[in-house]
Amino acid sequence: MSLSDLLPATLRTRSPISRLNDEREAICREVVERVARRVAFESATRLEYTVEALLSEAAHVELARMEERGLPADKQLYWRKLAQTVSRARDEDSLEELRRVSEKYATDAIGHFSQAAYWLATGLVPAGIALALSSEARWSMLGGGGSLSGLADRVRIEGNLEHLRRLAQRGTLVFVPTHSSHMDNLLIGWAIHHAGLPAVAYGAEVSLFDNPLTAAFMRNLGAYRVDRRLEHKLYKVVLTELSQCLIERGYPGLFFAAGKRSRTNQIEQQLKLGLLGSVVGAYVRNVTTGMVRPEVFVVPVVINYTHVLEANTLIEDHLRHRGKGRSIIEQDEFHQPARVARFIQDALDKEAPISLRFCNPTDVFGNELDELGRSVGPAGQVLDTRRYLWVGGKPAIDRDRDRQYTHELGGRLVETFMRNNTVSPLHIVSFALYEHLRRKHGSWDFYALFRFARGLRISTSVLSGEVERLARLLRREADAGRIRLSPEAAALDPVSLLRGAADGWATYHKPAVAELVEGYVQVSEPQLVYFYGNRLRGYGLENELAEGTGGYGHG
Amino acid sequence: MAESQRTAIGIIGAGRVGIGLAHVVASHGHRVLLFTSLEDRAAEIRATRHATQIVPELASLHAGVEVTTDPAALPAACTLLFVTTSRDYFPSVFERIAPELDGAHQVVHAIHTLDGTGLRRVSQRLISLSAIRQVGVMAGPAHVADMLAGRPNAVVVGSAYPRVVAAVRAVFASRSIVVESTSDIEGVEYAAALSQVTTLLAGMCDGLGLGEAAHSILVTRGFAEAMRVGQAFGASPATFSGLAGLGRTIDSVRRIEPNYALGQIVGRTGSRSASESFSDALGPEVAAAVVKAAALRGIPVPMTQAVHDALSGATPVRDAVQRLLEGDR
Repeated sequence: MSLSDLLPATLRTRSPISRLNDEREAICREVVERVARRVAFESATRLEYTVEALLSEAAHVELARMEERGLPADKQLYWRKLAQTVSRARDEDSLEELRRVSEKYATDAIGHFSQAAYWLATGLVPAGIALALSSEARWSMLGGGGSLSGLADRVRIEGNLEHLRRLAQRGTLVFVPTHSSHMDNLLIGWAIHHAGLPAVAYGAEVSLFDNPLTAAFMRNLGAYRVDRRLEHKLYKVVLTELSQCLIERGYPGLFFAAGKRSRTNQIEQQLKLGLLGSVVGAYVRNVTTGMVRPEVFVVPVVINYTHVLEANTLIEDHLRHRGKGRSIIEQDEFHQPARVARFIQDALDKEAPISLRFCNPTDVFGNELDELGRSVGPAGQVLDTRRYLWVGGKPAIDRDRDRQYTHELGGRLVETFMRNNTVSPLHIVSFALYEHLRRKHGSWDFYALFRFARGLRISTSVLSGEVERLARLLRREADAGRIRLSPEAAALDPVSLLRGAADGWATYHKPAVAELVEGYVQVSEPQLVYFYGNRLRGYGLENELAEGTGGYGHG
Repeated sequence: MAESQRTAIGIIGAGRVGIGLAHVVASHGHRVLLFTSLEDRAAEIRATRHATQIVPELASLHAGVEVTTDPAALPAACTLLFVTTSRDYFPSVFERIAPELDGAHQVVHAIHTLDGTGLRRVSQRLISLSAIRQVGVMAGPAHVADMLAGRPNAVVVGSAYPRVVAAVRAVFASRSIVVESTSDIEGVEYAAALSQVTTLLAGMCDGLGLGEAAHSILVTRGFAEAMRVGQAFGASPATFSGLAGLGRTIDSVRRIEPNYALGQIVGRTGSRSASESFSDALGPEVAAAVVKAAALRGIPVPMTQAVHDALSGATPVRDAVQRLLEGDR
């Protein structure tokens, strides 16, 4: 037994991230080189990827953002000049400019990481959130720090962690969690640490660095800054190349599968294939350059909340922008300490548990892994994954092929998320209630339902019937391994589901989402009923549920 | 074995399509390995160089075709493999070969059916049964008799992997065989499977003697419905107007292929037992799967429902088809 064996598991796993400070400059240089190469490649077939097009788009997005923020004209000078001159500039000057801009973005994004600070950040307190709160002296809001230790008990970490710890020794882990809340950033960092897994480098929204609650914590977790308001191609290329570069160098990675928080609370169905492509790309490059330990392992993580801190803002944003593309939310519940405190307090008091489920890891092609980190096929055969890259007898980069591998990996991740989604009574009954309202008031459109259903009463016996039918379908789905039931929902007994949901509706949200009043359920916040019920969407349950109602209407 | 040595073309299944395909590919100058799990058939082909019962018009199988019953032989010698077995044999045959396949193999199938309430495509099953990812599908109004006779033929290859498409084109395309391609593998698989239901319906209509107009109406509506179903499952509607959808529907009706023939008998006699003697007609099983899948997703499928009702005995065939043609009263 060596001395290091005496240390707790978490202190033994020194992450490759600790090298980051030494390698920062080299990484930035490499990213710039790769961006230039990638642009040269893409622009051969796509006009929007010429140096000129990329720079002028970047300049316009930057300027628009600066005006939005009311920055003075002198701050805008660089971009204004670029916007004016880029179409007239010589090719080599434009390329030089592209490198300069890429370098700026790469340098801005990449963070500092200190192993000591990381241990401090994750080790001092049971949950990362607590660190953030303590630094802001908000202990009093929580009725003293003592109860915080209880939070760790409320957060369940599930999955084969031993397997993951072994894999961390054999390849580079990339975690891909579902994303419901800004809380995810803190929880996942804490959970990875708590599980004895190496610290990760990950792209987190710039607002988390601006938020005093989280800034210190984020920096020390190995997060790099991603400014999602910079909606232009060059920035995305820089981030993808940075992500790939870090994974290739063996930095464990993490990114949220869909890039942004789920607005509807439904499990992500569309993933960000750009960043996922950097995972496949890293493996392909590792193999083609003959790296000794090329393996990259993908770890899907499902973060299951009962309540979502930002539920109100997220669903309102969805209702405002439905079908109109994405929006960036700059201020929400996460930036209101009192709201965060109430959320945590309720999680402590009311048994509103949170679970982080580390699902079975795979290689970048979606194959399962044995305990030695070898890929295993459906018949249990050990696979040589380099074969996936063969062109004419040896491994080669083929962007079309690799794009498709990425697409398939994305599909497998969605399936894994769905299978590991854990639903509680709040989700189940909210789904039954919303579906009942939708069918009963078939003539109301999507928006009308949210306006008119406020204050509606539904008899509990009717709702119980709906819940009972849904429970039967859920039993079948859960038995087939297509969805998971929280311990509180496992029995699928309609009475206790209803009681659990009533507790859930009245917890955290003020006013309550819905209430049980004298044999009725009275709906106060229909959009939140929809939001929480959406956790069951994507399984095709709604049509089956409608089939059994025997009558009332579709119109 | 290095991929550079895997230069032969593998064909799984020594039925009519498999043998015909093997002969054509070999006559394009490729070494072909033809796998069958039937020892008798392998022995017969080896001894006589033809299969009189199955491909009577083939006088002599090309010398470049080697027949094997060893499931490891094809994966070791081939990069590109075609799965041409019938739907019934597919699982047992492919399961024997699957453990030998790796990520470098490219597998293209021609089995046009859909499975379960998720309407799972055959290429998805290929991937879930083996380590392969580079899959493709072949469909269209191509026929062994025409190919062997050098008459014009066209197939569409659907694959999201451009190298798979290129590989198929390289071994298969010729003056008389046009190989079209699309990256919409879902589209080709759904179009090829669903068009069989439309063909069945056309057969029923003609068997019932409802007339030319009724035939045209039902084919048109059936086609639109197939497109709608495919689209709901991720296929591009444009693919339906290509060879796998429209091309195949027109062809199947003209040629009285098994789905059409079955529909015609059911229409004419009202007897449902005919299904058993048309095991090549996958329309009935596709219709059954679509009816269930569509109900779960709330997609209206009156055409498919009518076909399914008529075949399952839920509704007499005349009523089922007639109902589709009635206007608002």
